[in-house]
Amino acid sequence: MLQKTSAVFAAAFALRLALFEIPGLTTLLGGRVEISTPITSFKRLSEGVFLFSHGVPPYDGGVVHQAPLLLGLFYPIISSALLVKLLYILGDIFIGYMLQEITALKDKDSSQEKKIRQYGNKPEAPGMDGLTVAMLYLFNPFTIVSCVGMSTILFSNLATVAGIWMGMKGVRSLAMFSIAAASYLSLYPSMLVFPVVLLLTRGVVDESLVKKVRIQCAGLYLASLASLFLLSFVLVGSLDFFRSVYGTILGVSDLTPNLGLFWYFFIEMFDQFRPFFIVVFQIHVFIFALPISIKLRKSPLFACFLLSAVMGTFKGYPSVGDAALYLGLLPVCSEIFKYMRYSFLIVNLYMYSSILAPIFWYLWVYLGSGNANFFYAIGLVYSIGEVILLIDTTFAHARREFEAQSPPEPSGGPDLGWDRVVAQK
Amino acid sequence: MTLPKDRTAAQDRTRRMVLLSIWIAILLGFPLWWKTTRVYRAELPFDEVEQWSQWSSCRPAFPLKINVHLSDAVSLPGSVNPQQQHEAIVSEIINKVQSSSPSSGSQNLPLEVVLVDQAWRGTKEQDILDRPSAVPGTYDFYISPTSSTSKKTSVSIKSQRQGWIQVADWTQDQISSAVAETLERVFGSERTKIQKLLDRQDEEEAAKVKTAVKYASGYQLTFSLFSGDTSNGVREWKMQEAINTYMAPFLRTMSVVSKFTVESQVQHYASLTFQPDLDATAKEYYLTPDKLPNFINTAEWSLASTVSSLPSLNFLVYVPPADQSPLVIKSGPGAPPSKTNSFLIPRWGGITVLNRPANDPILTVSELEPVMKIFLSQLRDLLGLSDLSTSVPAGSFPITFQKNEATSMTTWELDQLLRKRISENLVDSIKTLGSLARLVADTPNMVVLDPIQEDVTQALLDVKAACEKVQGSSSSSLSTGSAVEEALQHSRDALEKAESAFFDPTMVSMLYFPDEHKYAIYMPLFVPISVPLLLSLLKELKKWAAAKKEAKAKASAKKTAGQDADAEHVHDRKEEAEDRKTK
Repeated sequence: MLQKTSAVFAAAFALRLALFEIPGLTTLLGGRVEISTPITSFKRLSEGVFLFSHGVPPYDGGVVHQAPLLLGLFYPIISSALLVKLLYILGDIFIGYMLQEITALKDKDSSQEKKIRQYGNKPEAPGMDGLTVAMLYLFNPFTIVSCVGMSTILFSNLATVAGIWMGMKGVRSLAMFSIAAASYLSLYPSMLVFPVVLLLTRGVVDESLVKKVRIQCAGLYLASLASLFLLSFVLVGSLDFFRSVYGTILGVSDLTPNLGLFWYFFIEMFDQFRPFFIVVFQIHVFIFALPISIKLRKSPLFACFLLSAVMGTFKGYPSVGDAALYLGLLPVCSEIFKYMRYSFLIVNLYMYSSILAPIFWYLWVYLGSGNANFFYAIGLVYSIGEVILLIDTTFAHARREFEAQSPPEPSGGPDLGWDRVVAQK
Repeated sequence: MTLPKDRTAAQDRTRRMVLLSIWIAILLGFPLWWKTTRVYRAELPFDEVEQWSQWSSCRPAFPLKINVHLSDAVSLPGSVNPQQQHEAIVSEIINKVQSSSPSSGSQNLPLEVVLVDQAWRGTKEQDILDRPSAVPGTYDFYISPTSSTSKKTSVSIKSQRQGWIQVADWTQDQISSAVAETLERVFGSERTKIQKLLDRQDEEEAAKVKTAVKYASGYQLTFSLFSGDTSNGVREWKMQEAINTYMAPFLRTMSVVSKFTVESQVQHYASLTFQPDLDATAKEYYLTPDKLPNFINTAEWSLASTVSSLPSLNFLVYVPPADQSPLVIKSGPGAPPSKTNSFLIPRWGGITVLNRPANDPILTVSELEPVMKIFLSQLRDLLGLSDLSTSVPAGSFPITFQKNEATSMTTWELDQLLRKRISENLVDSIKTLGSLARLVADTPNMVVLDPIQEDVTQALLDVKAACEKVQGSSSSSLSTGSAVEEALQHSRDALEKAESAFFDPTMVSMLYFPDEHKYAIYMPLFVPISVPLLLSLLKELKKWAAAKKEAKAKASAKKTAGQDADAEHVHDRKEEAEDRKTK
């Protein structure tokens, strides 16, 4: 087993290293709008580090939208290409490792619960093991291109997964710090505070203790966030980064096309309605956090997945790196797979858009024989895929809950499962 | 179907919490909705604009000061007291001017006639030319008995705001009527024009094609030499020297009104879009007037100036190719050709066709002299500088004009242009502001940003300043020419500010934005969201109301039975849950 594990991680490492060595591939992938967005582009990060190292305020020019501490992280190593590559590869592999650990912890959890019986009173088949989950993350093409394209979404993903892992392990301070770091890097993961707090309080029966942990977590989260901001302020010496980093994420001021839904909409928007619709779109992303956490408070891990998928779909600057995160978290909840109805359609939509997006981009930008509508249409297809995935997984989860809550009659009569309710009505 | 009761209750609670959290987010969104779609409207001074359009606070008037110098070479007959007599002459002149002027526009150009005590000694012309008046609006009339043998009254207008009136009979009556008639003939038409302009009665005039370009603080003059082909042998022209000699003095004088930048170009192989007709008998090619609008080959001749953003005026010299020479402008075969061989395109520029021997590759300054003279007169027309020598109506005696040799104009005409431009600018600014006010009032959806308010306020201040300056230019005889120039400056600023407010892109974009557009924007967004949300809210409320009613009914029923309240409460809850489940 250990041998197998190390073989998988070594293969993932070797594959990434090999891809990094293909000349021009990093630049090519790093220049793709599907992979790097204005807020995750490595080119912009390098620009920021260059400005920073030359004593120029990096956030004055409107090019750099990455968090100051990311600049601080790359400042000492950016001159060495090898170190940068290793940082990316190891970061990605560590995410894979954490996903494996999360799956293991979850299996331990669920082994204590009573097994959900399936039709015919058979026990539920065990879900995917940790290594498979890690493999699904590490060899997901989206993960690989995002890593080789050096999108800085990787670090946000790393912090998010670390937060979930620590939440599973029950380490409050680290869990909250990781989520704070993820929020600090790309703002949206702040929604994950709720499910991660639920992870930390799972299994706790005492109401007062739950309340105490919640308050403690809120304090830890805010303190971590404040210290990160303070550290950034010390690093760059001004608060300009707030406007440049979070202002851009929330205000969507850079309308470089990407796979998301914002850019085309705001290009066409009447100026007068711009602020209003930006507010509507952003509220729309955040509005899911509370209801999903309330509804799914019994399965916070699934809530984590849903919320990452929500932000990967509806955020202003989505990239395939965001898909890599939620597609990595999805197999952790592999027990719902058998209830999903549209898996085939979803897989097809992802493949369709992955193939056509570069082609239509080329048609539009290089050949001029297409226009912006072509590319945006593919962005829409991609988003439809994501939305169907969201709906279908939610349905599958609810269905499984239902199965668990209303087990079939132990004996007598055909077992109709869901249809029984319909039949009774 | 047997679900544990507590779980149903828990599910209910979850559903309510979810619904509540969504509704809270939406309610939090409402103030943001209000704030982000608020139509920001800076307050505009509509009343003030309305007042200005009636000229109620200040009506622009250009007071003229007329200094009358009487010659003392011959004393007036019957003079007892020179002081009394002077007063009598002045009041007589004013009376006569007022009675002879049919228009009521005298308030626009109020006359102030002063008889200068210091009598004029000489009778020679040179004495007048040596005493120029530098103040716009102040004119000196030198009056002397006629020296010519014909014994007729004659008036000579000099270039520097002086006039020499030679009166046939040296009597008080003759003097006053000669002065009055001269004033009426020189200023009368201008007075009515300004009157009409200020009272917006110049619509019929505005409808006509105006030759003069719209006023700007600067113009770009482009002189172009277009050579048909190499056969005519033209290679270059001495334009710089020609401009310095013939144009520069005029442009310098005009610089109080507008500044000029000058550029020139030579283009070869400039072909016409059509073949000129041949008049075989006269052995010349000719252009008929109806062909002139097509003369410019817009497709091939590059005339657009790239260096400046100022409005440009074009002056073209066209040298036809040898096989089309000579080329003249005439109405048909046999008709006499145009003397100047040139024509003017209103608000665009002038064109001269130059026929010349093919052997000389260089157009010299002397060869360009007639061309430049034509261009100068075309430029005058384009700038709206009226020619007094042709526009003054005929009267009982002749008025001759002596133009300045270098600038070929008189300061009288320059003053007239200044007054015309000031009034035009003021009227245009107020018209623009009025349209803006109407537009803003008619379009309640239009956003009016602070810069627009600033522009409008500033424009009104400039209008006011200009108006006061022209009023003030009058009253003190010591005022210099700068008052009028400052007024022009203010009027120009007012117009620029008014137009920048009117054509502001933030306003233009919202020019047409009816309410239906708003529905089109909001509907696709809110209807799909709000329908399920509202329905589920209604459902929850209904359930809640039903449960409450039932509980009340039960409570009152059981109270009469005298049961313990606490137990009853627990019981109720259970029943409630059961009810819900069965529903």
